[in-house]
Formats: sequence, structure tokens, C-alpha cells
Amino acid sequence: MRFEPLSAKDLNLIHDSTLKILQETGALVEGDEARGILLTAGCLEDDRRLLFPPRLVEDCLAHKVAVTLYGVDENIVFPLTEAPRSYTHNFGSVSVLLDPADNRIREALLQDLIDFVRISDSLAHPDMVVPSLRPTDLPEEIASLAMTAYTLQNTAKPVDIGTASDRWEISYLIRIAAAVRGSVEKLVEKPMGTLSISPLSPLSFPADITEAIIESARSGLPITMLPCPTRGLTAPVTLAGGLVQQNAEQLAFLVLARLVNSNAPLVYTCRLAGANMRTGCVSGRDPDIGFSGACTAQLARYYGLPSGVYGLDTGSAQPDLQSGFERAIGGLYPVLAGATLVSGIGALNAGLLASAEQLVIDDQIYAMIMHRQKGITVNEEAIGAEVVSAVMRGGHFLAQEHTRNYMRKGEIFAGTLGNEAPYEEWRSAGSVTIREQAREKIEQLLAEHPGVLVGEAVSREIEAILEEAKSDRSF
Amino acid sequence: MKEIMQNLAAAILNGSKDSALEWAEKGLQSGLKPLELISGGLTVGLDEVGEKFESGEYYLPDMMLAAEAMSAVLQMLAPQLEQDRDAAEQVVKVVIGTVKGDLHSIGKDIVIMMLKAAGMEIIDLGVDVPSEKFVRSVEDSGAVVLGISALMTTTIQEQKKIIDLLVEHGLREKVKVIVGGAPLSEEWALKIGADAYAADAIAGVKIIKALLNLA
Repeated sequence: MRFEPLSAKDLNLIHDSTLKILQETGALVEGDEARGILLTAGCLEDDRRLLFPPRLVEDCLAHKVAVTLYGVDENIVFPLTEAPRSYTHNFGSVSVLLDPADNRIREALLQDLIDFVRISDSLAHPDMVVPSLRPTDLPEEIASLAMTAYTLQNTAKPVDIGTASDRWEISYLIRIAAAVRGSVEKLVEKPMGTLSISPLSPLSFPADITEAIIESARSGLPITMLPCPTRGLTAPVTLAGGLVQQNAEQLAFLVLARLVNSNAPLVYTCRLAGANMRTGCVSGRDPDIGFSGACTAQLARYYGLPSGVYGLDTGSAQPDLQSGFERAIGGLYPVLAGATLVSGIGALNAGLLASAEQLVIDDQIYAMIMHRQKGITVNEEAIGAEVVSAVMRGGHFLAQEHTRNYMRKGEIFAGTLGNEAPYEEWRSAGSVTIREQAREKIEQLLAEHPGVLVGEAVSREIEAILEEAKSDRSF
Repeated sequence: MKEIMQNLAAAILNGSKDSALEWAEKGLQSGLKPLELISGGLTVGLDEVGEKFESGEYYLPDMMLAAEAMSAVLQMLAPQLEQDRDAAEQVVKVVIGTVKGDLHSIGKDIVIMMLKAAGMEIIDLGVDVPSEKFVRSVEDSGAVVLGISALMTTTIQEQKKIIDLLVEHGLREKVKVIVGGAPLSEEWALKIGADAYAADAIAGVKIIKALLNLA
């Protein structure tokens, strides 16, 4: 069962329009090395923009590379290409959080990041742990590296190795991840995450970004290609136009990465958002967030690439009713469209505010959304006509093997958060709200988490790398 | 005459550049002075745009298209305007940019469009601008207004740095400093020693006019 909003004709027109934009308008590409690579491959110069011949784009697309992620614990395996289901992850790099203790916002600290990672590690969702918080008590020059370092040490799941903004950062991120895996070779063989790189919209690749793309592609690690256009502000206002522009940004990125390394594993990840047309900010109340994610998933599949899209999103500054319905609408479309990676766990306020309560509640929201991703099995055994017959002759459904078997297989969803007790029962049990339940669960998960999961030697090595980076950057 | 003024105002209100240019041309042919076209037609239209934005009827694209139409007419009128202008009257010069480490340009660009539409001269420093460059530009250009944009909680500190540098260079009294950006507040503006905080472009133009005692 799949929700596929784009027809075959739509997909072809989006593809053809993309090639036309890349050929006639091209992309602003900076950095001598990237320009050299692209010009040698047949791109043409038009001012500072490079024009991409359709043939070059098609050739780079033709080469299929499977992407597989492993956990920090390498027994966890996520085949992103031909994924059996959607994998969830949390939102990244938020520097402000909603404190569960007093419901006020405050700056995030390192301990908060570690707590977020450990909570994420203990829940079913997220499947993959992105450094959610950007702690303000870390030295600014190595903050991104430290975020990855502390995330890697506190979860067994796959992670986001880092959002890299230049070549220097990539080299250190790889060293930190390699310290956890044992060596760079083992890391490339069984990567526990991707490197994320964002070009600027529309169609701009500054020198730092092209250098980061080249360095990442050479490493052989999976890359999350992450353009974030906003319709009406940095992309055409229409969904169709926005999809084409972000596709052009993806394919320009892909061409550069594949020319550097034809086996570079790439994830087609898009964050096409809508704008608040009064403030000029990204809207968190956009029902198209999920819908554009569904279209993006379809486009990625069209190219044989795994996809990554927004999922849960809200404009609300509280884990409240608004957050609940906006998240449900945002998450359902891409999951039903079979997106490979879906994001948003733990973030409020269009990604500007982190909440541990929301993180815990999102575990259940995604569980409910995923519940019917595979659809329904209709066969004689599932129908169970004999069960109806047995009950009509004096039995009870509760006493049927069929009932117990299918219940255990997950035929009926069993949630752990929220209330379904009748009012009086709920009231006499203390009128507990879902946020109170979430706060209790946060305490419980943190108390039960074993703590740092890597050996002491690895922790020491990581600290040494961070120290080196710090002294390196201060010169 | 009345018809020309009304149509000119309507063209701005509808954000129609072609129509605005056409009616401004007709106005000149009928003997109207550029300043009369501005006060009797263009400004009337733009004020109504501001009102409609504030009341929630207009959105950013309505405002941007109106500002572009306005700028196009001002540009057409510029040579003659220069001749008519009182020698003592100076064009208001505004230096504006987004601070170092910050690549956000949209808010700043909207403000620029609106200031241009209000007839001010803009020196746009772009994005990711080092603090020294803001100060140098104020000194070199003799601007009376400095607009500083910052959109990230990690970059708003740069605004304070720039204001401190202005003080150091003895320029602080010569220029009105307006700060803008999503994470900011009036409180923040006062704390770092700015003259004002503007929540949006319409407010920005109003505040600048008020600070400079312009009508």
C-alpha cells in the first residue's frame, strides 16, 4: 500500500524541467576544485554559474549505489535502499529547550544533549539518533564535533555523524566516528551514520560547501544531501516549482559527489517548507510539509535513491493539542508514501525549540503512524471465518488462538501513553495528563539507561581528538 | 489631475510597475512636479499598502511588488527630482547588513525595498558582514541610519559588538541604530544600546522616520 501523489507523467515532467533548469540556468558553484571537476566533466561556464549538460546528469544518475546504515552497535542494520519500512530520527542542532521542570525555555547544556541522546536510545522511536541539541556550554569552535562525540558515546543506534559546514569539520567528524568503530576502514565498511551537507537555496554551492562535498565523497561514507528551500522565499511558491528546484539542487549535488567518487552512497534528503507570508519565516503550521515529503519520497524512488524528509512538525511552542494534530498530519503523508527516513522527533516551534516531553510523546505518535504502513493482509487465515463459526456456536473471541496469535503479531495497536479510561476512572487516578506521563517516563528512562556505552579507551581517544581540534582551531 | 493621482496610488497599491510608470509619465506630461506625484500619488498608495499589511489583508509579496513599483517610479523621476530638490535637503542614507556568521538575507532585503520606496538611499553590505565593515561604511558614507540584521541566537551578539565599535570610533552619536531579526526584542535592543528594534519592514520605515523627525 502506498500513497503516491505524483503520476508517472508528473515525475517525468519534474525530471525534464529539472534537467532544463540545470542546463539553461545552472547552479552557482564556488571553490576552484569543484569548478575544475565539473568543467572537466563537461559543465559550461556562464558567469559564476555552471551549466550541467543533461547527459552528464543522466550518466551520474545511472550508477546505482546501495546505502546501508549500521548502529553504533553494528548488529543494528538499516538497509536504506529497499528499506522494509520508514526509519525515524530526531531533529538536530537546537540550542534552546523547553525545561520539563518549569515549562520555561532555557539554553541547552551538554548534560541536556546527553540526556536527549539517552532517552532517544531507550525509546523505539527515533530509530536513528541525531544530535538534537547544540549545547551553549561547549566551546563554539568545536561545538559540532563535540555534539557528535557525545551522541556516539551514549547510544547503540545509528546516528547523524554530523552536519558539516567545511572540510576541516569533516576530517575531524570522520576521526571521531572512526575512533568509535575501530578504524576508518571499518567505519566505511559499516557506517553508523551519514554526513549531512546543505547547499543554499536557490541553487548555490559556496566554496566551503563544495569542499565539504568533495571531502565527504572521497571518504566513502554515506552523505545526506540536504537542501532546505522554502516556497515563496527561496524557491517557487508552488509545490510543483519547489519540487523541481530542490530536485535540481539534489542533482547538482549528486553530480559533484559522483564525479569525485562514483560509489558515493547518497541519501536524497529534502526539507521543502512553506513560508509564513507575513513574517518571511518558515511556517511550522504548513500541512504541505508532510505532503511535499511524500512527493520527495516518490522522486527519490524514481532515481533509485533512499529518501529523507520532514515528518513530525509543528508551529506550537508547547507539546499541546496543536502540536499533536500538526505532527499527525505531517508524519502520516511521508510514511504512507514510503519515505526512507522521516524526521522531527522532539522539536517544537518549526524546529527552533527542543522538548524532552515531546520526544517521549513522539515515540508513540510515530508508532501509531507506522502501525499500518504495510497496509493489510487479506487471506483466509487472517479473515478467520472459522473463528466466527466457533463463536456463533457458543465460544468467545477472547478464547480463540486466532485472537491471541494476531494480537501478538500487532494486529491491535497497544499504546503506552495517553488515556483511554472513562472520565471518572481517569479522574480518580489523579487526572494524569500525557505530559505528566511523559515527564515520569523521562525520569524512568534516564534512571535505567546504562550511561556511556563505549569503552574507557575510546572515550579517552575521543577527548584527545576534541582537544586537538580545539587547539587546531584556535590558531 | 485627480484621476492621475488616484491611478498612480492604485498602481502602487496593486503592485503594478507598468501602470505606475505609465501614470507617472502622464503626470509629468500634464505638468505635475515629481514631488507632487510622490506626495499626492505614490506615498498615498504606499501608506495604504502599509495599512493593509498591518491589518492582515496584505502579505509580503503584495508589499514587495508595491515597493518595486514605487522604486521604479522614483528611479524614473530621479534626474528631475535632483534638479527640484532644495540644496539644503539631504537624501537619508542608510547602511544595512546581516552580521558575521549569519547568511539570512530575506528580512533585510524586504526592509531595503521598503526604505528605497520611502526615497532613502541604501548601502547594502550583504550578509556575513564583519563588524569593522559596518563601522567603516558608516564612517565613509556619512549615513545617518544603520540597520543591523541577525537571525540566529548564536549571531545576535554581533549586533552588540558593532554598537560597541561605533562608540569606540566616536561614531555612535552620528547614527541611529536599528536592529532587527526573529530572535530579537525591544528589550534586547535597549540592552545592547541600539536606538530601536523593528519587528517588521513597515515598522522599520516608521521608526526610522520618527527617529529622524521626518514626516
